[in-house]
Amino acid sequence: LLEPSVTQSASIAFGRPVSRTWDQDAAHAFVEALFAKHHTEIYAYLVRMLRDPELAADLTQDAFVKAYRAYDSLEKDENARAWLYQIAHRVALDELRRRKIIRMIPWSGEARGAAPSAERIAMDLRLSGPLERALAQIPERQRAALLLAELHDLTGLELAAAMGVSHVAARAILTRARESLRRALAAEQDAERAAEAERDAQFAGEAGGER
Amino acid sequence: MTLPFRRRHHDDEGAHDRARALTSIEMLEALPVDDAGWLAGHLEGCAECRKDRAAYLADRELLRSMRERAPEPPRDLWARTSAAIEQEARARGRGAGARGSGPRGTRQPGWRGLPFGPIAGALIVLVVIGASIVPPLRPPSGTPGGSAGVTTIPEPTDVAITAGRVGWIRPAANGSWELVFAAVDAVCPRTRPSCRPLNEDDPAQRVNLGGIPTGVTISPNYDQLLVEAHDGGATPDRIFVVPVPPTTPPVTPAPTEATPSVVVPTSPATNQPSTPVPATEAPGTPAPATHEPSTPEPGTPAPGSPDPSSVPDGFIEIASGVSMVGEAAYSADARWLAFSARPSDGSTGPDLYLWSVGSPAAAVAVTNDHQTYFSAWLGGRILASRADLPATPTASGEPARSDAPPATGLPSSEPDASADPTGAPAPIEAHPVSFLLDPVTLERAEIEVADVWLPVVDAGGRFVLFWSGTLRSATNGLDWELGTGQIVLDHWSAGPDPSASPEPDASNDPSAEPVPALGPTGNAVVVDTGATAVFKAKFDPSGTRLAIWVGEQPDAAIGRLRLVVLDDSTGAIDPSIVPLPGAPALRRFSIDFGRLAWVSPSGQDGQESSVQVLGWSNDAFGEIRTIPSRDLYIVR
Repeated sequence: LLEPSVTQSASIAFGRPVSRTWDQDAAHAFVEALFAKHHTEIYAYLVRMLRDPELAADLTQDAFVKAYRAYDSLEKDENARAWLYQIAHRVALDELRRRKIIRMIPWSGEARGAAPSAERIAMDLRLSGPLERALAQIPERQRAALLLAELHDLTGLELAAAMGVSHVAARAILTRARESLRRALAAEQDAERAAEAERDAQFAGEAGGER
Repeated sequence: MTLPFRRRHHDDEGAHDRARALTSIEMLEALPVDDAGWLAGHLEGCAECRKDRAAYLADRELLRSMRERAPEPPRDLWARTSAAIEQEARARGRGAGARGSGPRGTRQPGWRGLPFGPIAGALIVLVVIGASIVPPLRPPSGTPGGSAGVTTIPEPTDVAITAGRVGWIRPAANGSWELVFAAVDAVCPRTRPSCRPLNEDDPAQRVNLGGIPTGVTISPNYDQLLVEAHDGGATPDRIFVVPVPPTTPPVTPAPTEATPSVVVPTSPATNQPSTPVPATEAPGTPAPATHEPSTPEPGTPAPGSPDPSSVPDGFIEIASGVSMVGEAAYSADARWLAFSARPSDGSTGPDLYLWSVGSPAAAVAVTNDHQTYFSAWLGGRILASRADLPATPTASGEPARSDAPPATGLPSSEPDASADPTGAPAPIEAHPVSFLLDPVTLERAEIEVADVWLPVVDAGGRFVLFWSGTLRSATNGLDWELGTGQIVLDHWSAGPDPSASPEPDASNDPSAEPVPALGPTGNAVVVDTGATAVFKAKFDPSGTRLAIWVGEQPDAAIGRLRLVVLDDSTGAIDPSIVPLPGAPALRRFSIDFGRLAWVSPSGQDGQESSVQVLGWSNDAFGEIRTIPSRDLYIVR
């Protein structure tokens, strides 16, 4: 469930003491309305974070169930969108970390270079273009910051609230994210150019052979 | 409102950094007028920053193009969600059937199809039991569900720990570096499938490391960093000291806007050594022997005299042209720094170096046998080891021990091609000897027990861990690696008190037991038999937790890190507790009260490195880690 935000410096903060009384019908109606208004963007955010549409659908469902449980912690309805993103963001990170913990095997002492590379993961996920592959390579919180700010149009304060960090920290993460994306995109473009050159060379070789 | 970058940046590099940050923020929200004005002015005169800005904007357009491919949610998503909410409502036991529709024909993946009521009840019992053992980190009223009397699926409670801060270096924007200290007061139990990251939002302090280091060590007073630099090019390897800039006092979080503050743990005043650098001639040191010009003599500075003109302001270059072997360490009183290093040109093996902290002079080699390795500090003295070379025949045919050091540190620089058809020299076996060295007088106290290599003694002087066995020359002809033997744990004896007045003949007192000689007492138990090349061990301050890192190559950057738990009174290893059986770890790690910290190698789960912390409270252990990043150096 919602944990207290890391800092209380952002003006949108959730997880504070209960601000409205629990009413099951009201909670259900509230979440229903919230779903109608925001489920498409929440689902899209989760797909972009997890790159798995089916899992994203499950986690969207999870996010709205959690919103229902935590209905009484939302202070102001006008903050509901950022609040919902915060829930979805936590759900996504939890899922990503759960995968890591399961796959990383730090405790058993049996992992010896068996972990797949970032490139391999990207290939496995059949990421379509350089941008998706670059996004897949940057740290998750940075990826989240970029998606929330640039695709989902969260404001600075909303971004901080959704990520559960201070306003200053959210901006710092976003700056780091832009740098990471820039580097990752450059690496992707270099790799594409190299692959293209290889293809050209191969084609030229084959054409020469046919002659 | 003015953004808080101005205070932290005073140079050109900082200005570009600030411009980049403000550019990023400007794309998110409007800048305060003065920041916007500053940025506009800076961009006007900075082509590189304009290029950065254009790249950010181009990347934003690229990102926004993803909107054209917005994924469509499944049509039954509301039906599934609504069913799950109703199931949740029934599990709460409040208003069951209030909506009356029950779960619709939905897909219920994983645990969502399970009966919530019984499971939740059973888990609540477990959590109540767990909570009686482990104190909760947050008051239950802090969670919305708890305050509303809501039944939720509980997760195992965090393990609250009392631990020293963890410190690390990470890259900042624009090629600079940040020193971060994070308080770790809780870790996640391993039974929990997920865990929040170690707080990377703790205040960071910008430090200048002069490039990409190969190793970083912080002083006990937190006022300087020892940096090892090796660029692999024409620039000689360097070891230099970088001041940690004075810190600003911690800023009390404002109710609306947090200002990044620079916080480094409060340190006592720096104790400048009152003693001079080690004397050239000191009792107990071997007489300098004939050796090559690059060979250090005891009491002489490191080869390749530091060139102050090439060192940035504030840096102190303490050695140049040498490569550190193993890890450097400050004495606990921060007066001395000890390390072993060998010439970068590979002309000889390592010698032991000392630097008087704060001295403008270079570090001084206090051995010249080219086979001495720094191990650890024990109180105010240094524990070091050297390879005792096998007897070699002389011209007269009489065996002689080679006390006079050979040029390379190994018995012969001529490869014994007969041993290997490829011409590679056959490995040489040697027996290690260890000793304690006083940094002020350079007086040595030999450990008389044979085959003790790189002993590490706990702060209480009770237990010692060391390699018990032979050494084998490494293929590079310069280093020694582990030969035949094992890593063992033994009780430590400080030896008879030399200052004690001669007692009457002890034979007159049958109850008097002789004090064991300096060194292990001969009650060793095997800790590790799998070490093949190199290891590093450290005790926690209590002496009851022992971390051992083992690498498979002498210069291995990655190895396996494990933690063992010792009985406080007997020193016996508790085999029932295996908190860390062997995690992949970079070479340097840090252990303190209640926690062990290390950097995981990149490639784990396809991720970059992260700072990982194993924390404990009594026998409860848990883990927490930072979000992945590159180029991390653990310093505390």
